[in-house]
Amino acid sequence: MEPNRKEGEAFVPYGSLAFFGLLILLAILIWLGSYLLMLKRG
Amino acid sequence: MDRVERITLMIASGLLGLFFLALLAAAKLQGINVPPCLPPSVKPFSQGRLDTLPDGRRQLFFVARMWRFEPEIVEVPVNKPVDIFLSAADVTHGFYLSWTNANLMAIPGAVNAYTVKLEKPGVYPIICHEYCGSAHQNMVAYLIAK
Amino acid sequence: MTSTRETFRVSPLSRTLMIIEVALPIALLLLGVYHGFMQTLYRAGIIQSSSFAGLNYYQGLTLHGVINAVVLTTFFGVAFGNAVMQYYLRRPLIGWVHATSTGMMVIGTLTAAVPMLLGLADVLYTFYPPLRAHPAFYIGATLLVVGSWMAFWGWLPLVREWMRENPGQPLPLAVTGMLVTFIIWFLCTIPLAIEVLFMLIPWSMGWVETINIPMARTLFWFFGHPLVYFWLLPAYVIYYTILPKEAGGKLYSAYAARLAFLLFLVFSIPVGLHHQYTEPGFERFWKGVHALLTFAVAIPSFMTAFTVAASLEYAGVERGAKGLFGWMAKLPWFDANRPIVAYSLAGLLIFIMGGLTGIVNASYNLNQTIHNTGFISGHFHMTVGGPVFLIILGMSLELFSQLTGKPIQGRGWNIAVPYLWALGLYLFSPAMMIGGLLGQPRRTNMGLSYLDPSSPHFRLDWVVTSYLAAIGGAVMLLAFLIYVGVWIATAAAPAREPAGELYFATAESLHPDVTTTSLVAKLRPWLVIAIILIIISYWAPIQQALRTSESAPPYSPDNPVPLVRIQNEK
Repeated sequence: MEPNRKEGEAFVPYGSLAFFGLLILLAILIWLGSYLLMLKRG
Repeated sequence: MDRVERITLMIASGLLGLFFLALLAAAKLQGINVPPCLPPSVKPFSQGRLDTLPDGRRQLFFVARMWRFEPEIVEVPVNKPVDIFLSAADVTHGFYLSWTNANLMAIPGAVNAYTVKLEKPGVYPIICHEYCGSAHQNMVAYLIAK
Repeated sequence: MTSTRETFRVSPLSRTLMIIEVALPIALLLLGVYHGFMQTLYRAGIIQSSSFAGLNYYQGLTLHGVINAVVLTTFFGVAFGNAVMQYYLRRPLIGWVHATSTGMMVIGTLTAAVPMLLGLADVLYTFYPPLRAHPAFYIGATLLVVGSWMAFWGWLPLVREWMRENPGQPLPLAVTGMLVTFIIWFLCTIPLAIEVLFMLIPWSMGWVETINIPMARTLFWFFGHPLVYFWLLPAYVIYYTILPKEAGGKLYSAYAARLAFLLFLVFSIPVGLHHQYTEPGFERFWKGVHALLTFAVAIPSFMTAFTVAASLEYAGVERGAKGLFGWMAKLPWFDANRPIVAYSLAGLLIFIMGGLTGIVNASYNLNQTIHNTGFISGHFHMTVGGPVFLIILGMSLELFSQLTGKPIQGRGWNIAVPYLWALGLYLFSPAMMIGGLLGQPRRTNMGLSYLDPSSPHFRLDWVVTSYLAAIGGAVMLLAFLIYVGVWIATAAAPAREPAGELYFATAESLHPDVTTTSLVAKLRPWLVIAIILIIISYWAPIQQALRTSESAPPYSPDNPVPLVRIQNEK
């Protein structure tokens, strides 16, 4: 497990963090789109 | 847990929390809510009708049955609140007033309710959107807002 | 490669049974997928008829739902679970349990298939009363479910033995994942069993005259949403264990993976009322509670999105990727020798949209805008019809190949299947969802009314989306036919490797895995929390459903007169 730990600490998944950010952004877009439609139809 | 994973966990939870608050705000401030739970004293009815209350408010009683709504064509005024009540006479049906949030299930044994205010004059199809047997696709009524 | 890989030799009996478990549902899928495609034609008005080639639209819709969403997924869950338990625990299954379990599932499936094919069970896979199916339909479904319980019970002694022999070691991640999958399955099929055994069967037999509809629906959705996680979690097991390894990397963090599974155990059941937001008779407060808990169950999926991405990023970096998104390009998207990577990645591409649109459905009053419209079908085809379906196809073929010792034939064609399917779905599902926002109902033979220009109900504004959905359906059908071709070619090829040698590539964890003392290595405390949450969230809604003043007699789907009255008049 020792070499694993070192390796693990050296690798920071910035790319996945950015990907996750985009995913959140997409979630906001899709959800907000439907939310505004609901308000409009309310 | 890994630090980066903790961050993503918090972002996701925060986002969902915000969504939930926005939904509650729409319910409280805009009155856009899921159908209410009517008291058990409100019994299912078997005839459709349109009532006008003394203050001009309309109450519209719909019966869903295989494979039509009753009333099938009905006229209501624009910009006035219309209380819709919905009862199922045989099996489960759906009730979707096109382009609005009046989206209801008609369930045998219980009465559903929703209030709409139509701002635009026009013909609004009411579509049965729950499978109710072989002629389900023909089950449509029309609400005319004038 | 073959010299270092550790395989597990399956007993001849289990080998035969497992071949049946993977091959039977794929054969039935020919019918299930066929009618999926046909529905898009009816819905676009390309077919304007109540039936085609002897199969009624709603009969086909029932077959499509039951075969694809229940039979296929249950058989695969059991087959994959059987493989995971044997491979990771390095123990044979108990022969008689395995034989009884598979036997019950096969007999149950055939028993339910007969009334469906005869048109005596046109009730769709949700079988909402008071539409009534032939009793054989309900009895067959019960046998299928009980057979899957047997499989699960048969794993438990193996797990206990392994734990005794490996003190201080947490259960292998895949074993934990499949145990969680089947604990959820077992818990949520109990209300289903109550609905079927104590309400539907006596009522469809005519022993009792009427049935409480809100109660039946509540019990169904008590089962119906956790069912979604029963479909999804085997795919997650593959995303966490096999995919990172096959992609050339490691699992970013086994801790997060285990926590995700446990959160699913806790949150996937007390959420069923979100399918009943638009129904009368339930207090808004409890609909809100279920909405909040449904949001909670989205969290382990968000965690999975990140952890799987980080694992793939690590694989990409190991392969020499540079920059923020370089790892994506470095993944073996088109490696014909690692087809499960293609199936997994195509599934993930679809699931991005499937997961996010699911948040819309869960959103309490926002559901008013989309309930029972095409939006719903569009959404769940990007979950169960996306990652779940593709992983089932990819892994079923892989298991078939290992169990028969026949290498997969047409490898290039095989990895084209998931991407072609994804392309078809990205036409079909958005078209369905936009159509839904325009008001198109789901589960409706629209070609007979809304999409028939000569009908007074014709809707010009639904034409474009319906045709797009049909084009998507055609592409998906093509992908499936290629898959069937690959399967047949594989089955026809001679065996070149020893048959029945199971092997799963398994990623090690980049960050250290948990120790047995960690809360995340245990199942029991989480199970207790799950049960408490179920009781809290369902106590009041069940009381409210039981308050229903009237109950309903049975109806045939083609007659507005109740069946009891028809019988009395005879």
